[in-house]
Amino acid sequence: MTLYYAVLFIIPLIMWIGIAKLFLHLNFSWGEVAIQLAVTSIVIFGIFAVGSHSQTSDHMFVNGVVTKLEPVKKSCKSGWSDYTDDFCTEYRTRSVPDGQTCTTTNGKRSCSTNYKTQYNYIYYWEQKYFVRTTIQSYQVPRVDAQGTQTPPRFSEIEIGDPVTMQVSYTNYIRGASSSLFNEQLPADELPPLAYPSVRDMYKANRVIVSGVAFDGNLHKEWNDQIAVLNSSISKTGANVILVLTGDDRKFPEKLAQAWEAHNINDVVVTMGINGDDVSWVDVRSWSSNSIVEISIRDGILNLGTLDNVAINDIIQESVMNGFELQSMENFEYLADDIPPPTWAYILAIITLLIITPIITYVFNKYEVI
Amino acid sequence: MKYLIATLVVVIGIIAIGATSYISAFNTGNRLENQIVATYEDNQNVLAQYGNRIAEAAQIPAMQRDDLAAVVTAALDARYGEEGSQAMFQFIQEQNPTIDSTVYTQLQRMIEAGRIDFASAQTRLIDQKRVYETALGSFWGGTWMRIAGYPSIDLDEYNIVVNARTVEAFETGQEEAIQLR
Repeated sequence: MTLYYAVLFIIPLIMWIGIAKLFLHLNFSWGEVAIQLAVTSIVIFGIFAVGSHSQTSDHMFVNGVVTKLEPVKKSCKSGWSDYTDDFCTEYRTRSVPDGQTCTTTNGKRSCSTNYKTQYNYIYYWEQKYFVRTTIQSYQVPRVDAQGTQTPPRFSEIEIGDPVTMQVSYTNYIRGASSSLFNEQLPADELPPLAYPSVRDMYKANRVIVSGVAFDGNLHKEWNDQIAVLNSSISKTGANVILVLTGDDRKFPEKLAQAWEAHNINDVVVTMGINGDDVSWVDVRSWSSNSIVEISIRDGILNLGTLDNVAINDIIQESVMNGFELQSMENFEYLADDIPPPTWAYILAIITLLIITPIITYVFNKYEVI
Repeated sequence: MKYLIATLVVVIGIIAIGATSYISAFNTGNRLENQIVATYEDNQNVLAQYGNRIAEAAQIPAMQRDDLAAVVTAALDARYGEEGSQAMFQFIQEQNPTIDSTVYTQLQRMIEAGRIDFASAQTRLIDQKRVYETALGSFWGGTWMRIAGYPSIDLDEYNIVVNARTVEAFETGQEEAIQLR
């Protein structure tokens, strides 16, 4: 689609250059015509490519566990050096003369001294604190400049702790607002609930409470449990998000639209609660096998009460037995149904109406090639 | 001479745009049509797979599996709706009278999941046809797609499965209450 829209904008570009050259008799060479065509075409293509990417670019949670705690200690260079170290970070700097640059103006030669920066490391060694996990490595910030003291944040981490991160991927469903897989509700009906995000390096709150009173301690405890659950089911690729609400059964549909049809690996379990009772359950995912949704829903409804441990067990068992991560390739056809964003049209029009005539003017006035 | 070069440049530019548009339209038409055909076949695959899964879950003897597959397919493709589900459970109980309540509950879930998966597969087929028809109807791309020879398949051959009651309800604008018995 990027090519399609770019071509639509390149047609008036060619017409303009043709008119400028043939009928307005502007003075620019054929080389300049070629440059003008090539540069403007690339800019317009780039605008629509970036526009298309912005429509489909999305982030999904990937879960894992801590596998190793690794303090790394390395020696630092001694004395003044022209280059920085790839490990040590604490240094002093100075500027030292580095040759001269001489110019001759009106027969008069003048020279100025060049300077370069040099680095001198403060410590003989520095220590950094790395957390190795199944998904990526993290560095815990030091509490002193050299890293002699173990940071309390590093000390509290244990091997096997759950970790999560958000990775970018192409989400065609998100960009295709006309798709039958997208809800079509008015924007003012959508709940103002933000999609979870990563905090404190590798944590995320994936138990969300909306419009209902809920015990704060239980909320925190459940969040920690869901983090463990998500790391336990990481081999399925699924990411469980729990939503507790006092709203009606239409809430999950509104939430699905507010969260742009959910991510391809999300299992969003929404429970309507009334005190300690579960009134209704709605489970949404893109799993190839919907048995995961039915099993979670029926399991929680049969349970009937807000027993977090039992609910977690139901979810874990259902996801492990039934979740089948669907490939986004199944929705690639929607790429042909995603129009560029308005700003891309505006930028392309600005390019055609302002930048192209300016280039034409410059080529007309000055002989570039 | 200058006019000749100018005309040549403009003509080459127009040919380049035409060729790009043609190739883009040809590839788009080819890709979208193949997706529609593949999804149509995948819909049939979804139906077939569920027959096998349910036969395994219900511990139906191998000799009766083809019969069950026919009943399951009928239940899933919505030709018989709720009555289809009842017919399936009746068939399962006849073949395996000792079936316990746990398996029975699991079968109910599998049937519901099957319906959702099949509905989702059918929605994808409708969505792909929508995307293709939108592309064919667009001014620039659609014109080039028609020049490139698309549509080359009869889209009416790739329709979703709809039960007779639904067709009748849409034709008459009236829907009768469902008779469970």
